[in-house]
Amino acid sequence: MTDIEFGALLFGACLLLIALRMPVAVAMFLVGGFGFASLAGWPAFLNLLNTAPFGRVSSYTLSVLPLFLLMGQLATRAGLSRLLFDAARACAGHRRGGLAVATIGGCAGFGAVCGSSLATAATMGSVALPEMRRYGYSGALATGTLAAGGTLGILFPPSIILVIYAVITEQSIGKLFLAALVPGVIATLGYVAAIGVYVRMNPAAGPAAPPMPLGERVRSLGKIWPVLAIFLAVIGGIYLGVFTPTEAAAIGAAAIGLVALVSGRLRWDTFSSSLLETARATGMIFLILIGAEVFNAFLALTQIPSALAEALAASGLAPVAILVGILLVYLLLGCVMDSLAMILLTVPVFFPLLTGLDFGYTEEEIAIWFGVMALIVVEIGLITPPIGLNVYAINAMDRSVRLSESFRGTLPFVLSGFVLLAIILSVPGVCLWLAGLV
Amino acid sequence: MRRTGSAGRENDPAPPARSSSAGERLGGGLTRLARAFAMVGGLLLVGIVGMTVASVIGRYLLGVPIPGDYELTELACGIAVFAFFPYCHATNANIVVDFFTSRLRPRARAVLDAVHSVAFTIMASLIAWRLLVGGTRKLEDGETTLFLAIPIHSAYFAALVAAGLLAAVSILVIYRRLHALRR
Repeated sequence: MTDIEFGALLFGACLLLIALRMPVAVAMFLVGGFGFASLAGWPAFLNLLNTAPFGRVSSYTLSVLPLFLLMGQLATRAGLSRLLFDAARACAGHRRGGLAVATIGGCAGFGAVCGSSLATAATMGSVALPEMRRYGYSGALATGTLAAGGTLGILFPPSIILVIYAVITEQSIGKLFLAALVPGVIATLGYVAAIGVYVRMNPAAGPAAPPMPLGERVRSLGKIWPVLAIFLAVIGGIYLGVFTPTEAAAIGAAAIGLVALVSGRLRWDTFSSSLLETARATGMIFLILIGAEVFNAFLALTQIPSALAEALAASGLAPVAILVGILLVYLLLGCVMDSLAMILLTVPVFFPLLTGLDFGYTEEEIAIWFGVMALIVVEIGLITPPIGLNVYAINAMDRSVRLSESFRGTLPFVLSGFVLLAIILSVPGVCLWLAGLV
Repeated sequence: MRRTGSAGRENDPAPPARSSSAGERLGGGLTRLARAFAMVGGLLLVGIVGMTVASVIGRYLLGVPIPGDYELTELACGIAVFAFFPYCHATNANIVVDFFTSRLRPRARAVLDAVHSVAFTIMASLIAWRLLVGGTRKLEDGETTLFLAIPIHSAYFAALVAAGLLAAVSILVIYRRLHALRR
């Protein structure tokens, strides 16, 4: 058996164990460890373990993750979701489908301080779902909008999944954040358009809510300045190079903590539960990162990535065809797998392959372009059956809505996601422009 | 597929109800200890936030950052993350793909979970063992950080304590899963 065959065999074994409910981190760690030891010897594997786990976890670049997770937790408890929803509602609530549009606006705003899709959907859901149902919105539209709106949490920086992509491909976190910003805006507009078309076709699904008095509208818009200020400080600071992403995350977390403290919602019990939730989310991600570290060390020994890259380069396939093929694989995997596991398992294989292709862009540009597209595919996976995580989370919040209704409700947003993917595939400048790369 | 527990509060895991079984009393103690470790890690994180903000302010207003702020962040982050692991595992916060097994009978799933809890213990024990060896080597080499000359082994040994607790918690999880099987 050649190293490549052995590698492919163990890659399959790892996928099988994951499919059999083994925690993803354990499967990658043990299979990768066995493979590494078989190829390089057990002493080499044990030596790797002397430093790899702590080395992986104590990285300055990766310290941005727990800090952004803490920021998101504090934002959840600071009552920002209510302020954002009210402000967006002041603008759009009196139109047909307006509360759904306001939900998307609120999600976009919350996504600007929270890097997780599920947290954004769940937090906005607790505010927006009862309101939409109260004004007679259909279950499909209300839950579909929220599930889709949550994905803006990972499209708008900060974005946990983008940080992880940046670290495994050794790209700049700041540039990736900026690259995702314009697609995030397009996604928001696309979602709003999807709602517009949906309520035109089903006018009963999203009746207009009574308009708010002008004074109240202005007041509720005025209340969201802290969110805007924090977002601008965090992203602007990274863009201008005033501080590193880690520093930006620390400043953002401190600022949101301050807002929560001033709002009177941050007591010891909410503070300690945000710390514990941050601990769980952080531990969950970093344990997988340790597993992936071992697995990738093994993968590098088998030389699968470079062999695959050579084979595809020699096949004479058009680069764009290969890229579309990879995106299709992601769409399929995204339907059955956790997004983080998918990125960590496949990017080390696909990335060298892609950067070796000739798209007429530099390696860095391809890396950022592909990262944003992978992010959008992940986002689509979160709202499509059979296991759209966001849809399950939101559906669980309103027992009167059937799961199939919720999935039907996300359909317009899935289509909008595909349009966004097509735009970025055909016009890479959409994401490369703001990252200062074009 | 699911991310166990990432949806949050509803399955926030209170330590199991007090019972007369010695195993469960020990288990409750371990869970509380894991929670305490997670709190310490969380406060360490808050410490990083405070120090980083102070350092940025110092850099721009006074022209002096806190010396060695990057390496302090690295070490503190590493220790904090290790301190999070036992609580994570005790509260079942592992990323698991359950799409393919969701139609199995509950008992078949419980058997798989029991097997995987053993696999988890193997991983946790390997990590703890090698942290001990790795930390001891760093101690012998006298390796320190660049600016503040903090001995690296101190961070390794701090992480080792947490990794040891993780291994202990993982054994508790095996016990609980086997117990669940017998019912």
